[in-house]
Formats: sequence, structure tokens, C-alpha cells
Amino acid sequence: METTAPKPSGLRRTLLRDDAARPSQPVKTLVLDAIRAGETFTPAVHASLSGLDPVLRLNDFSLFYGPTQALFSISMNVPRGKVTAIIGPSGCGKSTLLRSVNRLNDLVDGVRIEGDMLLNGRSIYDRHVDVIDLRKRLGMVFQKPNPFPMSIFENVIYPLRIDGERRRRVLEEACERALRSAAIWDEVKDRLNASALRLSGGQQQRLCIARAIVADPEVLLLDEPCSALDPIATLRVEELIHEISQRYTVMIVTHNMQQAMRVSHFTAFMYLGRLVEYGATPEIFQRPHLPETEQYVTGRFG
Amino acid sequence: MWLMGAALALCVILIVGLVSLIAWQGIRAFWPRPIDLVTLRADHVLELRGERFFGIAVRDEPYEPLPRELERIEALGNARTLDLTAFHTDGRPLRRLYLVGNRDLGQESSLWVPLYELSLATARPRSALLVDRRDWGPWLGEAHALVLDEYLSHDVQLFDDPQSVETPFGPGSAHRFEGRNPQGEPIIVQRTTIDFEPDQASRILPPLIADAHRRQAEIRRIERESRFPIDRRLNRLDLRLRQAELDLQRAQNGRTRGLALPLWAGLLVSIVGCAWLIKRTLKLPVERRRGFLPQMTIRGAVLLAVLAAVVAVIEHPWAGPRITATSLEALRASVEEESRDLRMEAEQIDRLLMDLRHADQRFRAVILDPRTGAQAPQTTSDPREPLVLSQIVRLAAPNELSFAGKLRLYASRIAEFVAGEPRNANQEGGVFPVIIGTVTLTLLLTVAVVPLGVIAAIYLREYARQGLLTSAVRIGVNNLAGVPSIVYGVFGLGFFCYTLGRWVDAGPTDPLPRTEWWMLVVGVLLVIALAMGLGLLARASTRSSARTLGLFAGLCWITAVCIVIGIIATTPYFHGFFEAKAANNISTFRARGILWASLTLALLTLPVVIVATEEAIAAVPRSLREGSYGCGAGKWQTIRRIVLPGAMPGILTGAILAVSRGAGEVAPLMLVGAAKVAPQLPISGEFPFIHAERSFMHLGFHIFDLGFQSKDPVAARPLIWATTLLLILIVLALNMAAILLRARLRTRQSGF
Repeated sequence: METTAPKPSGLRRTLLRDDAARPSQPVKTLVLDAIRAGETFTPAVHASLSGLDPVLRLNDFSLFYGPTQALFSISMNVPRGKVTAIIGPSGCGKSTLLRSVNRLNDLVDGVRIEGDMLLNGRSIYDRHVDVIDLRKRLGMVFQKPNPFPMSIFENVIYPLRIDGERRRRVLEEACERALRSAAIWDEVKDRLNASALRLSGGQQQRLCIARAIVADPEVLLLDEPCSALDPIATLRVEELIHEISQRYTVMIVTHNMQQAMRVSHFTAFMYLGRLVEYGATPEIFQRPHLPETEQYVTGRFG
Repeated sequence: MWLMGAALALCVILIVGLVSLIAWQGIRAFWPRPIDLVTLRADHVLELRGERFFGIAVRDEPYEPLPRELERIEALGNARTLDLTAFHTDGRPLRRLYLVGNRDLGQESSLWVPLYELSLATARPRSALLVDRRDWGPWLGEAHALVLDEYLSHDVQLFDDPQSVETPFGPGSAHRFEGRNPQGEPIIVQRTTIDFEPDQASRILPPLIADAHRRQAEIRRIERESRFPIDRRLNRLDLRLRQAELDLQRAQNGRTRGLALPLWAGLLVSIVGCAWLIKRTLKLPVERRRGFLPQMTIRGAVLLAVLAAVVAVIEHPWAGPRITATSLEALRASVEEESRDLRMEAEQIDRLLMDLRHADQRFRAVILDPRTGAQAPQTTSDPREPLVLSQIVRLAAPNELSFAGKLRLYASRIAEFVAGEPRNANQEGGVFPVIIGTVTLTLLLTVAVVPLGVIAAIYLREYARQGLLTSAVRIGVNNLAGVPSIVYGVFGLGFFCYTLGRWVDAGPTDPLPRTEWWMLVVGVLLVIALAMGLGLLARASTRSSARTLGLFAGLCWITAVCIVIGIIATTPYFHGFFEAKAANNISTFRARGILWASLTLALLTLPVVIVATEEAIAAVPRSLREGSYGCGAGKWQTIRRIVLPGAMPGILTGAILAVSRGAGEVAPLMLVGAAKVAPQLPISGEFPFIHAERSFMHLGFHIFDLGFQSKDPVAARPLIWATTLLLILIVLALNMAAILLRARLRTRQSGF
């Protein structure tokens, strides 16, 4: 087990901390207390992440809503082609982190960032980055299903429509492909022209997933996609995440530890805007490096 | 709670009462009512000669008698000839309002008669006729004879005594007198009078009246299809010539010198400079081209190039003057020749029309007023000439009509009301032009206000940075909603009609010299460039200075807009769309017209649309916008595909409110365009179909005009009710259409 005591600022530059470099004598500081006190610390990042090809890299990423800081110099790599879950108690900045990836936070007045985020090695927050283009490369699914008030077909192909695609055949094929990938094709194939608002909540959420993947995104961002769904719908969506994770990189924010365990390959535990521990899911849940993580995943706090 | 219930109930009662009153009176207005042959006491003391007259009873009401009348009542009571029905239950005497028509006789068209002055012999003779005339109001009377004129050549013999002749309508007596034909040549007119029993009139006259109407229709058709087009063509020819004269004048005065050399030189230098800058920019690696300066360079260069092209096209220094004195002479000759031909054609048609009208005068009817024995005259100035049949719009004998007949008459009156032209100073006839005017106005208003308001609201809510300025704009917009509508009328008259209309008609009052004007154009472009640059800098810089920079950018934009308005107002290249007409002192747009009226109303209703749209936009859920942005949609795409469709029901609600308000508004219209009588409809089958410069009639104004400006409000009262009902129905129809549309949109959004 490893905890890290407050260290000089040089440590903040650490991106990937290797398990091999673990200090020999564990220091029993309460990390959470340190975070509450606003102290700097180095998150425990497992060695299992080091060899992987990162699709997304966060370098000391901080975010401020006006005067309040919401994310504190987060550094992490999101491995390509895997499902990365972000867990943590409410208000710890999970969603903010996710929304920073496709710069949805830009829409909020008074948002300021520090540090950087790199998608495939190129900065997301560079001045010359076309935000629209960036968002087209990232699919996003929200907490509450938010199908547009249009037909199912129009909903799914919305990203293509705004891209200016007009050819009916292309649209239809893309629609079918996305709906099949989202495992909802059989349920809606006969009523593609019906309003999407008539679907059930679970179906709506899968529709939103279809919409998110119709344009073949590089990363799929799921913001608590099952929190508004019943258990059966949740199960279906989880199966779906499992399936699509074979083609896409997925970042999923979730409140549900079991869900994180079931669907993700890697899990990041965040607390009060800081990354606390980040590693392969089995390790995080079965032998986390920090006792606080263990406490959290076993439900003893949070 | 009881109080609130009572308040609600009161409101409901008031509204339902008002609507049902209007509906009842409006529906009743055209129902034929019987004609009484009113017989007064032989010794009556009314200021009325004669004892018997035709009248249509309108209503009875008790009144406070004058002392003189009290004496009279007492005297009658002493003679035991008083009837109790002549008094109200509280003892006051009753009087009855009779519509008596026949204004030609110098009487009011309505008459109050105390019931105690009526003798018991009041009857409803079947022969009583209600004659709706085209020009002089209704005539109540009995038809006694048909008059047929025949125009003979001037050399036939005059009769000494009337001679009996046989006509297709029965035996008549004929006499001859000297007259003149339309060409002014002397002829002999043989006038045959065919007497018939008064109760035969509704059998004999209607077919003849129908013939007369057909002749009138033919005359109107010839006028419309042959005569008026010639006038219009003549007018156009005149204007073409006048325009050419003006052009020549201008060419001789103004075009002696081209633009000042410095301006051309400046343009040339800047173009070359920009080309050089562009070249340098293009040599840069691709990433660095996106910087501030290179971007500004490219944009500026493009702007300059466009400007230079525009200058070249407008000035075209290589071309000579378009018109010369010789070409003007040639044009004058061809115009004169053409108009001579046209005038000859017009003369021919005029002769034909005159003959037709003359022929139409051959059929007349003698319809007598029972009180004075006078006949319904052809014109008030000449009571000896009996009424020409084509003057009769409708002949009705309401006393002998069965229920079905009354229904038919009712339907024909309603048909005339809805589809006919007004006549007799708007007091009778139809309101078709009024309906068309109102509907056109409302449509134009909608077309103007909805896009403007929606765009403004979108900008205010979605694009503008929320701050002091937007709040100020919002407050201003809300205050606009509270400005009395007459103020808008004054503004519309002053700004739209007289200022903008003048500009449209005749161009700027005092245009700048060309060089100065172009300098102004260059200046405004510089200001715009400055504003753009400041804006870009503001976006790129830190928060504290961004504010100041943004403020300066805004100021620059405002200055630019002001200068642009100045540029438009002083352009030396625009001389008005109707220059020739204006030079002949004929206003086109510099007058009250439907375009200006609808724009004024649009201004009036703009706040409603803006506020409603803003609220509707704000009500679109954030999750939908985020979903759209998350899909990679841009701002405009999100607005167009998600926000606007989502806000559409709310926007429509605002539009409904605005249009309802605009459709019912009268006060500003009195100033900016509604007319008592508009000679032409604002829409027609001729290009450009919507004649935006024409004045128009409006239902609201029509009601005002009928009720308060007409010489005979009592006679006009049924029409007022009917018009009110119609206005309410039209507003209701517009509302219903919009509400249905909104409901459809709503259902489509919540699943279909």
C-alpha cells in the first residue's frame, strides 16, 4: 500500500507513478484529510497503466468555475480501447472532468482552465482547436436520456445531419449500424419515424448511445448513463457498454461501484476535485493502494 | 376566495355578454324587417308635413316629454283617444324610432315618433318597397310605373299629347321630347310610361333590374379591361419621358468630373499594399496563418477588393453618359407617337362606354314616397327624372316576403356585405375592400414582425453577452410595449411616411458630392475594421481589459451603424424609385400606405414577440442543448435544429398575441394609412400584386368612421354591428389558425 505525504511542488509534475517506485515505508497519512485541507499530494497511479497507449492525456489539468476551483491539477492517461470508470462521491468533479474532455464546460460563463489535455497527442485546449470538430470526435451520453424532439431516425443521424450529410442511403446505413451497435435496432426498426420521446427511458438512453456512436467517435464519454434507469434497463446498457468497448475507448462516470466493477477495465477514484487513485479495476476494488479508496469502494464512506 | 370567484364570474359575464351582444346584433343586422305605413293623427303636431309615411320600426323607448308635449297628451287624453300601449308602465310616453330613408326629400333618414301621435290605422301594405340605391341611400316607397326611353333621330315628330303604345311590359303612354345624345347631338327621346299596380312591382321590376346590373357589369368590365390599362400605359409613357429628362439634366450637371484623384490613388495604393501583405501571409506556414494579424490582413484585403470592385461598377468611368439630348428627342418623339395612338384608342372606348351608359339610362322606375308623393329621383338635383333601374342595388318588398324569401334577402344582403364594395359614403353595401385591407395589413405585419422579433430575441438571449447593455435593451423593449399606440402612429407618419417614404420616392434630399461620399464609405469600413479588431482583441485578452475593449468595440459598431445610415441617407447614386413621379409632385411612398402602416404596427407589436420568444428560448431544456453541442453541433446549428423547434410553440404564442393586438389596433392607422375610402385594393392580380404604397381600408377604422364620422349614424348602425362582428371573427380566425398550428407543433414535439 502506498500513500503519499504532501510533497514539494515538483511532484505535481508526476504523470505516471510507477508502483516500482513505491516508498519502502508506507506513511499513514489520511489522504482525504489532506485533500480537505487543500494540501497537495500525489495520487496513487498504478503501474498497470504505464505500458498502455493513451488516447487522452491530462497534464495537471485544473478547472475553475469563476473563483471556485473544481478540478485540481489532475494528471491521468486514458488508455485506448478500454473502459475507464471514474468514481467518487457526489460533487467530486467527475462530471466536470468528463465535460472538460469535449469542452462542454466552455458553455458555462466564467470557466477557466489551467494545464492541458491532449487527445491523441494534440492539445484540446489550444487556441486554434476547432471545438465543433473536437466534439464531433467525442461522443457523449448524459445522465438523463435527452433524445431530441424528433423522430428516432433523425435523432440517431443528428451528428451526421449537422455535418451536412444529405445522402439518404448513407444516413440510413449509419442509422441502422448505430442502432444495431446500441442494441436497440430490433426494438425500433419498425418505427424509425416515430417520435423518440415515445420510447421508454432505457430505450431513450440506448438511443442516445446510438446517437453518440453514429459518427464513430474516438472516445465515448458516458456521464452516469444509468442513473435514471431501472435495473433491467441498466443491465442492458451495461451489456451494451461492454460490447461497444471492443471498438471504442469509453470513459464512464458512475456512482455505482458495482457498475464500475462490471463494465470497466480501469477505474479512477476522485475526491473533492482531485484524483486519488487510478488503476486497473480489479486492483482498485480488491487491493487498492490507499485505505481511503478501499473504504470508499466498500461503501464505508461517501 | 368568494371574492376571487366573484371577480372571475364578473369577468366571464362581461366578456360573454359583450361577445353575445355583438354576435346577436351583428347577425340580426341584415334580417329584413317589415315596412310600416305609419299613419299619424290627422291633427298631429310633429314637424312633418303629411300624415302617412313608410318607416321601418327600429325600437321603442320611453322619454321625458316637453311641457308642450305634456299639454298635447293631456288634450288627447281629454278627448279619450289615447291608447295605453303608447305609454311605458311607469307612465312616461313611448316613442318609436323609424327608419324612413328617402334622404333626397331633405329629411333625416330616421325619425322619432311619439306613439300617442300614431293613429290606429298603421298598416303593412304588401306593396311597400325598400329600394337599396347605389348612391343616395335607401328609398321607401311604392312603385307605380316603369319608364322606357327610346332614342330617336332628331327629325321625328314630337307628340302633342301622350299616345298609348304597346310594349313588351304592357300598354303604356308615350310622349316625346328633345334631348341630346352622348355626343351632344340633338335627338328626340320617346318616353313611354307603363303604369302598374304597386303590388305588381316585385314581379315586374326584378328581371329588369337584373338586366340593368348585367349592363353595369359590362361597363365596368370594359373599363377595367380596356380603358384603365390605357390610362396606366399613358401614365407610364409620361413618366418614362420625365425620367429621361431628369437623367439628361443630371448627366449635364453632375457627371462632368469623375471621382477625385486622391481617392482613386488611395484605393490603388491600398489594393497593392494588401496584395503584398497577402502574398507575405500566404508564404507563412499554415499554422501561423491563423494568427490575428494574418487573418486581419486577409479579411481587410478581401474587403478592399470588394470595395474597389463596387466603386468601379458604380462609377464605371469608362462609359459615357447614358442619355444625350438627341436620344432624349428620339424618345420624346416615340413617346408622343405612342401616346397619340393610345389616346385615340381611349377615345373610341370612351365613346363606346358613353353609348352604353346612355343606353342604360333608358330603363327607369317611378317609385313614390307616400307622404310627399315625390318620386325617387335619378339625382337629388333633378327630381323630375325618375330613378334609373341600374341605380337599384336591391329591391325588396319585405311585407310580402315569406320566411324563405326573407332568408334569401338576408343571404343576399350578407353576401353583399362580405363581398361587395361600400356605397353611399360607406353606410351601405359591403366591406370587401375593408376585409382585404385588414387581412393584408395583418399578413404584412406578421411577415415584418415575426422574423424581426425572433431574430432580435435569439440574438439577445443566445449571442449577446448578458450584461448591462442587454438588460438596458430588455428594459427598453418592455417599455416600448407600454407606449400609447398613437405615439407609434405619429412616429410612423413622421419617419416612415415622410422621411423614409421621401427617400424611397425621390432619393436623398441633399446628396453628398461623390468624392466625399466615397470617403465616408471608406471611413465606415475603417471603423468596422476597427470594431472587428477590437472585438477579436477583447476575446483574446484577459478579463479586465476585455471589458473595456468590448465596450470600445461596441461603440465602434454603433458609430459604424450611424455612419452607414448617413451614407444611405446621402448617397448621390440613388435618386428614388419614383423620381419622375415625385418630380411631377405625385407621392408614391411618401404618403400614407399599407407598407408603412404594417411597419408601424410591427414596431408596436415587436416587444410582445421579443419577450415571448426570449421566454420560449429560455424554456428549452439545457439538456437538449448540451446533447446537441455534445454531438458536435455549432451554436447556430443547435439554435436552428434544437432551440427554435423547441421554442416554436412559445414563439407562435407571442406571434398570436402580437398579431391579434396589431389587427385590432386603430389609432396609429388613422395616421399612417387607413383611409375612409381606398380607391384600389392593396392587392391585385397585377404586378407587383401587393401594392405596398396604396392606402387601404381597415375594419377597426371603418367602425370608427361609420359610428362617429358618418352623417347618419342611425342608418349606419346595423353595418357597425356587422362590421364589429366581422372584425372579431377575423381576429378570432387568425388566432384559431395560429392556435391550431401551435397545437400541431406541440403534438409533434411530444410524440406523433
